[in-house]
Amino acid sequence: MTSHRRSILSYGVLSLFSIFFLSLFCFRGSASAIGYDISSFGLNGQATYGAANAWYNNLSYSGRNMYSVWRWEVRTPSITTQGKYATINISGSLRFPLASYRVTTSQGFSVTQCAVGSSAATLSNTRTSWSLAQDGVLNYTVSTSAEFSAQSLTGQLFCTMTSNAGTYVLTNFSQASQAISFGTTNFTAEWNNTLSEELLQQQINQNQTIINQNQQIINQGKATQDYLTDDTPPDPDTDNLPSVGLLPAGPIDSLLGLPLTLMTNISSALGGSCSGLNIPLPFINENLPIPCFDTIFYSGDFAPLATILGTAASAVILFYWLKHLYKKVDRAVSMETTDEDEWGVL
Amino acid sequence: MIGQLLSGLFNLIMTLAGTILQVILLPLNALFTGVFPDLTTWINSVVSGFNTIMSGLPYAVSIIPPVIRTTILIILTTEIALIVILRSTKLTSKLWKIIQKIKIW
Repeated sequence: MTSHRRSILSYGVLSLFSIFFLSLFCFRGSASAIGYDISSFGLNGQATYGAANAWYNNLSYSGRNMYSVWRWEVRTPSITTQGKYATINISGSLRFPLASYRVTTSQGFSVTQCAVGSSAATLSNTRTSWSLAQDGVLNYTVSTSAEFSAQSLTGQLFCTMTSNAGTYVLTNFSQASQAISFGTTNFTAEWNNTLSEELLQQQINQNQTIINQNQQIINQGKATQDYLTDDTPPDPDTDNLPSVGLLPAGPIDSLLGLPLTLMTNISSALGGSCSGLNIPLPFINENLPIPCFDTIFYSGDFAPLATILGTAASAVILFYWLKHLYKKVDRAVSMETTDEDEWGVL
Repeated sequence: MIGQLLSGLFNLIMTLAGTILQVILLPLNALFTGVFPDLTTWINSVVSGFNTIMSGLPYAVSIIPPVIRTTILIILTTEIALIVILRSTKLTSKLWKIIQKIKIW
């Protein structure tokens, strides 16, 4: 019984010592990781940290070598894309976690390169600003415009940002300053500029409209140029012009010969045969035939009456015309013709 | 028959007159055809419109009784023939006077 109690006591003491040493070991391990382990410094958002020289800078101060440690902090970049153009806004801080150092810079920050895969962008209009938020924290914002060669890109945007040489002031020790370079850092962001089908079709239609308008302008210019530089002889269509003479019809004689054409038409109508008219009737798509007066009145039962009336009228007309003709011929043979006899305007 | 004969005679006279007009206007036609082809097209449309208007003339003339039509055709042909004869005689006499004044030989 005594040995049993002794064993329980020894196990309990041993357990207490074990718990004590284990807790002491764990506490020491976690304490050594706070603040000084570089690998524990992560960057916000999707950003990643860059070159190693951005983390350390060997400062020789007052005869002592000391290492200062800072870190870039890049918040999630804001990217506005439109076609192959993008506006990239980055903001973040430059922090000094080891001590309360006051840090200022005189050169600012800039984005040096951006790429989506193998497609690199041309950067322009970089704007930057910075301010000292508190000792050891320098806030900055950078905005830049990027132009890619490809229209539609999908993937990860990879950019490199750098800070130029600035002034570094150790507040806790002295007001003396020393120029350093903060080095570079990288950041990444998702670039998804895949256009929707509807938007893509809309852009295609707009482009096609512009192409058509440009083509129309080009065609008009080409037509004007062809017209001005055309040296082929003109070939007007004179085939349909009526000719009253033996020569091929020309534009002027066709126009001036209209009275002759009229008289030719009249004589043809007087001496020729008539053909009936066909008048198209609306709505029923049929023709209304109208026969000639020859068919209705001057042939058949009415023919003798028409002949008698026509002969009587013709006799009267001929009587007066022959009197007129006799006087005209008389003046002609007497060489006393007047202008009226010759339509004297010619 | 007589009507067609007179109409043929009339057309012969008109053809001769038209040929004389064409000979006179030959250079002017070439000028308009070569330099103003668009104007030629315009004249073409005017003359074609005139012919379209005249297409209904035979029906309108057929209202006149045939005997009177023949009489009018006789009168018209004779008058035109007289005018052509008298006018050409006068023009020929004028031309002869002009030739007489040219004393190159």
